[in-house]
Amino acid sequence: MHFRSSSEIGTLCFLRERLTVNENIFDWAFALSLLPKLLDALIITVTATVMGMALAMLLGLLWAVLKKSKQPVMYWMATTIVEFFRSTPLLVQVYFLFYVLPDAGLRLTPFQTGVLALGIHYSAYLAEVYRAGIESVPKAQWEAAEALNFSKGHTFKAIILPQALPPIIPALGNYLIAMFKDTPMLSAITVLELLQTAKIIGAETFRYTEPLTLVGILFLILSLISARMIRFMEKRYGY
Amino acid sequence: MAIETQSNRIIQMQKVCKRYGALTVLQNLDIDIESSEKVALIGPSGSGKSTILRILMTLESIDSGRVVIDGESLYDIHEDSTGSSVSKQQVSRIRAKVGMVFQSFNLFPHMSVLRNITEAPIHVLKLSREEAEQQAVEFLDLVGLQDKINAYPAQLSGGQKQRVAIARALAMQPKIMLFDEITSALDPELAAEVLLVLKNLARKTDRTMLMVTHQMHFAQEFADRIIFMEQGKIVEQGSPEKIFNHPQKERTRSFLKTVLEAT
Amino acid sequence: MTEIFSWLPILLSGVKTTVLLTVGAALIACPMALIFGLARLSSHPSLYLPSACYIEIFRGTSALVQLFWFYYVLPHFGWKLDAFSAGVLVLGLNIGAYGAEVVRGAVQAVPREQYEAAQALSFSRQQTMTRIILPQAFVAMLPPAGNLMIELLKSTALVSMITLSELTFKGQILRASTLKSTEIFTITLLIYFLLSLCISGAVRKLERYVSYAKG
Repeated sequence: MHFRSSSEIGTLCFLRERLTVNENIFDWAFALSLLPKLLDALIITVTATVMGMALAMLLGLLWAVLKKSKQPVMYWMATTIVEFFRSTPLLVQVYFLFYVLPDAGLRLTPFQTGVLALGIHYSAYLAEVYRAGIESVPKAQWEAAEALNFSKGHTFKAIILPQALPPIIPALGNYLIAMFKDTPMLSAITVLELLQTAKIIGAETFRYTEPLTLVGILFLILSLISARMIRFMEKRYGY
Repeated sequence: MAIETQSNRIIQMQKVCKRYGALTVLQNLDIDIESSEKVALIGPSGSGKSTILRILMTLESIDSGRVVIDGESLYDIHEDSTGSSVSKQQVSRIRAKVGMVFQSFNLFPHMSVLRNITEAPIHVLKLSREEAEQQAVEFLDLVGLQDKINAYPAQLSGGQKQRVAIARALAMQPKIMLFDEITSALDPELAAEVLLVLKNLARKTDRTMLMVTHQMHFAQEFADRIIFMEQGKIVEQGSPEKIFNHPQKERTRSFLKTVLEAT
Repeated sequence: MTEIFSWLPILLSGVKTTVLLTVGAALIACPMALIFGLARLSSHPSLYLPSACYIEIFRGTSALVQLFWFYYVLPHFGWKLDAFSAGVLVLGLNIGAYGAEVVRGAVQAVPREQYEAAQALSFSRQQTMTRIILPQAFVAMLPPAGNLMIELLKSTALVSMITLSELTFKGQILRASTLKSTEIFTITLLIYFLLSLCISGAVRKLERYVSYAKG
C-alpha cells in the first residue's frame, strides 16, 4: 500500500516539476481559463465511454455465447468476427462506420457513430473476458445443473453467469479504462471530446501547450483514480 | 574474527530464536553437529525442522542466537538485536559449503538435466565445461539417471526430478548436504527410489548430512542421530535405537505411535 | 474490380510506412520495457520511482494525446520532431510502458523457489537473474508481448492524424478522391488484418522455438 502511494506521489511531483521549470512557456492563467471548456468535453468523453462500454458488454456476451455454440458455422463466424475486430485499428473502424453507414442509408451523428465503433471494437476483447469467466466455472456446475434437469438456457442464466461475472469485474474495469483512453480517436470524426476541444482551442489561440497538457493531465488523473478503484474491486472479488 | 572450533563440530547453533511476526518458530535452539554425521530431524509439521535447514542454507535469517558453520560465524546476534553481521563474501563462502535438496525439486525448467547440473559448477566454481560435464555424468551415474542426461525436467517423473536435484547439489561439492522433506511430494514407489539413492550416498560419502523427513523407517536406517522437535524446541535426541525403541519422553512415544500406526 | 488494382500500389506504399513505424517503435519499446520493467521491481527508490512515473504516465494518458503533445507541444520546448519520428518515439514509449508491466508480471510469475534453488547453488544475484529467472520469464512474456505487437501495429494508424502518410492516411486520400468508402476501407482493414496475422504467426513460431517444457 505504502509502496503504491509513494510511486503515485512521485508521478505527480514529476509532472509539476516539468511544468514549473518552463513557467514562461506554460501560462497558468490561460490554462485555468480553459478548464470549464475542457470539463464540458470531459463529460462528452465519459458519456461516450459509458455508452460504448454498455454496447461492448452486450455484443461481447453475444460473441461469447456464439463461440460456445456447437454449430460449426456459428462458432467459426463468431471467432472470425472477434479476431477481425481485435486485429484491426479502431481508427479505421471509426472511419469505416463514419463514411459507410450514410452510404447505406443509416444517418447517425458523429457521437453515435463513435459510440458504435467503440462498442464494436471492444466487444471483441470482452468476448474473451466472458469466455475466461465462463471457463472458470467448474464443469461440475454444468453437470450438477444437468442432474437437476435444468434446461441449458436456464443453467447458463441462473447457474453459470452469476458465478462467471464477479471474477471478471476487474478485467471489465481495465477495458473500461482502455476504452476511455481511446476516445480521443473520435476527434477524427469531429466528436467534441477532450482532444478535439483542445485542438480547436489550439487553432483559435495558437497555443497548443496548455490545452494539450491539460488533456493529458485529465486523462492521467482519471486513469489513476479508476485504476485504484479496480484494484479495490480486485481485492473484493478476487481473480 | 577468529572462532575457535571445538573438536570437529561442523555446525553449531546456540540459543537460536526465529519468529514470523507473533509466531515463534525456533526457541533458544541449541544444535551441534559433528563432521560427517548423518542427522534426521523429525517431528510434527510446524515444529521448525525445515526452518533450521533454511537458516543453514542462508535462505532465512534469525532473530537472535549464534550460528557457526565449519568454523565461520554466520550469525552472532544478542537478544537485544545487537551483534555482528557478517560480510557478503563471508555469507557466500559459507553458502558454498552447504548444498540443499528441496521438497519441490526446484529444477530449472528451461535447462536440460545436464545443464541443471553443470550450470553452477561452470559459472560459480569456474570449472571448465569438460570437467563439469564429466563430473555431472559421474553424479548422474550415482543417482542412476545417465540415460536422462539430455532430457528436460518436464519429461521426468517426480522421483527422477528429485534424483537430478540430488546430483545437482552434489556437483557443487558441499561439505554439508541438507534434505528438506525430499520425498513428501512423491508417491510411495517413487519416494522409495529416491531414498535408495540417498542411502547409497550416505554410505559412500563422509559428507555431513542433515535431513527433515516424515519417513520414520528411513530415518532409522539412514541416521546416526535422530532429533525429535516440537514447537521450535528439541524434545529428545539420540541414536535411532534409543529414540525409536526406548524413547524417554512421553511426547516422543505418542508422536511415534501416531506416525507409525498411520504408515 | 479493376480499379482495386489501381489502388493497391498506393495502399501498399502506405503499408511500407506502417511496417517501418511498427518496427521502429518496437525497437524502442523492447529495451524500454526490459529496463523499466526490471527497474520497477527494484527496491531502490531511485530505480523504481522513475520507472513507476514513466509507466503510469504513458499508460495513464491516451496514445493519441501523447502523439499530439509530442508533435505540437514539444517544438515549443525547442525539440522539433517530424511526423515519422514523433510516431516512432511516442508509440515506442507508449508500448514500452505496457511492455514494462508485461516484463514485471513475467518476472514476478517465476516461483520464489527458483530464487532459493539458485541461492543454494551459490549463484550471485546477477547470475540468478540472467541465467535462471529471465530465461524463464522470457517464455512467459512472449504471448502478451505478441498481443502488444498487434496493439502497436493498430496504433500506427493514429500517426495518420498528424499527417504521416501511412496506410490509413493513404486510405483516407483514396476515399476522398474516389468516394468508394466501403471498398477502400474494407481493403484497408483487410490489410491490417493480414499484417496482424503475420505478427501472431511469427510470435507463435517463436514460442514453439523457445519453449523448453516438451512434456
